[in-house]
Amino acid sequence: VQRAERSRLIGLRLALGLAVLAFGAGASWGAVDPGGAASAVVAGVLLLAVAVTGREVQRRCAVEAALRSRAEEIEDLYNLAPCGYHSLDADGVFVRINDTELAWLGYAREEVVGKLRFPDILTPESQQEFARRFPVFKETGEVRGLDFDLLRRDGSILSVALSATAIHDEAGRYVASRSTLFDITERKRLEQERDRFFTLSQDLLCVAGTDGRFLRINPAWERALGYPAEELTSRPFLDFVHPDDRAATIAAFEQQTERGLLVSSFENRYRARDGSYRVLLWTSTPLPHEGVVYASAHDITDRKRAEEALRDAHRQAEAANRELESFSYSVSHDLRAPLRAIDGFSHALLEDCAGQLGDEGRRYLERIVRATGRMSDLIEDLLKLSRLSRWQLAWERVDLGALAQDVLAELARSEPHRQVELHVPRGLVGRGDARLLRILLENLLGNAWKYTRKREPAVIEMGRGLFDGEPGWWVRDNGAGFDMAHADQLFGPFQRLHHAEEFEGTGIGLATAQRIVRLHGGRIWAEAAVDEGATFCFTLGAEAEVR
Amino acid sequence: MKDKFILLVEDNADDVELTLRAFQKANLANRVEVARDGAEALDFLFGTGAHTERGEHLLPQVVLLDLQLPRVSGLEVLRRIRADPRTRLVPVVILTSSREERDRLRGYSLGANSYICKPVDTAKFTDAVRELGLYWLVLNELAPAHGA
Repeated sequence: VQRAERSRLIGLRLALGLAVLAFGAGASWGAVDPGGAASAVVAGVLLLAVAVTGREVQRRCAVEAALRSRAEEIEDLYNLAPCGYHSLDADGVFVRINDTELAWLGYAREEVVGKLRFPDILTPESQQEFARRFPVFKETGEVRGLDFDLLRRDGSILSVALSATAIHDEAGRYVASRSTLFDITERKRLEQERDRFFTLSQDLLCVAGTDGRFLRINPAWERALGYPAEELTSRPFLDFVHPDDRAATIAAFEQQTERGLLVSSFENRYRARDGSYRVLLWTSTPLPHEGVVYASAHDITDRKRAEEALRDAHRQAEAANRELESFSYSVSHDLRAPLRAIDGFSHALLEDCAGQLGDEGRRYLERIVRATGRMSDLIEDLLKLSRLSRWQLAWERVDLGALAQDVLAELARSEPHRQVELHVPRGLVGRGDARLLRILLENLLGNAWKYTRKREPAVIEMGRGLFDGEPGWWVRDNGAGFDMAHADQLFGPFQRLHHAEEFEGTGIGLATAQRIVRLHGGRIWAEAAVDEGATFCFTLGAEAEVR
Repeated sequence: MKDKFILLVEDNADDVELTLRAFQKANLANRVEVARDGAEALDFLFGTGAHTERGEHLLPQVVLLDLQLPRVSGLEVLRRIRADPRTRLVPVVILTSSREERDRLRGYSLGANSYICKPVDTAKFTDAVRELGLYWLVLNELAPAHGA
């Protein structure tokens, strides 16, 4: 525009200059020849007219230049826009296409314009869509946001959203389209990704409207409840909620839609098509301004059922424990009383009537007394074992080495004449119930003490080890040992691998040891050979690790 | 000294006889009164029922109380002894077969002075009874408020 203005000004000055020159010449000539002066004036007027006409011509030129530049600008914008532009004739053939769309497709303009129809660069599905839409478009003159998949020259797909208006001539006949295309490939990829998760999810996902209906649900709903999706979205969702849960559901829903609060850990029951109910655990977030709630429900029916079964089992176990408790109580009381009578009156006989008894009678009575003592020990051990079943573990840091030293010191006091080599290193620390671990060590070390009675020297060791990566402890002796063929009987109550005459005992100690170890979540086992001693190893479960 | 005595509350005839035999060995047998169940023990202590004429002026140095008793249980007897101002300071020693923690806890909670588990071994049982008798009849001084 500036350039045109400038050339217009130069033209005007030039014409004016010439007119002044003509007048000047006429005036000077006029002084010599009046007729010559008149012709000079005419010439001046003519020149002035020429100058004015020249100005008009220049103005028109400038307008044209401006228009041209304008067209160039539009052409630039058309070609370089971040969206695709094209126009199709009545047959769908490209009449125009911009550089951007050409770059998307990988074609040159001359390969497309006048040569290809739009459907030629569409996927088969999009071709069908085009075939449906194009005739209607030519009539109605407008489409908005249609999705098409374009086929690039290299075979890859580009998804676009297309809007177009139709250009008609004065007679109303379709001339061409003016179409705008946006690349929505990335958006579609994200949508597909989201949809894939939506479809895959085992949880029940939904978008619900404030009208109390589902706007959108994922396939997990159909799988969980057995209704077709249309049924679930066409009825108010409250229809499917257990009658007893409806009030709470309405309250939870209103809390979101009216107050915009997030809901988590809300539980209700949905009726499945087969009449059963599924328990759903909800998390949801409302978008009050859009009038929707996004929600995810986890089907916890099976978990609930398992929990219920577990509670039942627990209740049964507790009932069994109570029964065992009253049983052991009566054992403790009622079984001991007659034993005391047998023992007491046997003693009374021995003391008061010894003369009448004779040696044989006295020997028999002594055997009765011994048997009574043994039975009393059995009752005592059995009671200890049964008490363990209702023990509440109190976890704490326990120095098993120090406990072992204590137990061994007690054993040494009970048999002060015994010479036993003890190897218990420091630092045998773990976590567990100190009272139970003491009973455990009393049993293990008591056995080691007992079965090394005939050894000279007797050796008892204790240590720490890793068993299959699990930390544990071991107690070893060089005593009588046992045949590994009987190892599986070792931990059963009343199971004994030695005769009572050889080594006394009730056969309950190792059963008690095993119960203690299992209560901690660990295991116990033994390695031994006849006359070569025994090693007992135990772990106390994951909790036993000192952190 | 002559009016000091022990009340043995025990329903098992064998236990009664063996306990009395043990007291006999300690020369204390003539100082033991026996109640065969909880109700009889309460009648004896409060001068009711069969013991109405006995009055209530004579209270034992100690009550040896079994827990498993017919009619009124040992723990109930203990509770009533402690609830009554006349008897609340009478020493009560629970003498039972039960070693259950629960019983011990309840016994002490209700105000038992001691809890002894009857040993099955007769020698130990005899020792226990003798020591009990000597301690409560000879060594122990009762509270001054006691109506002796």
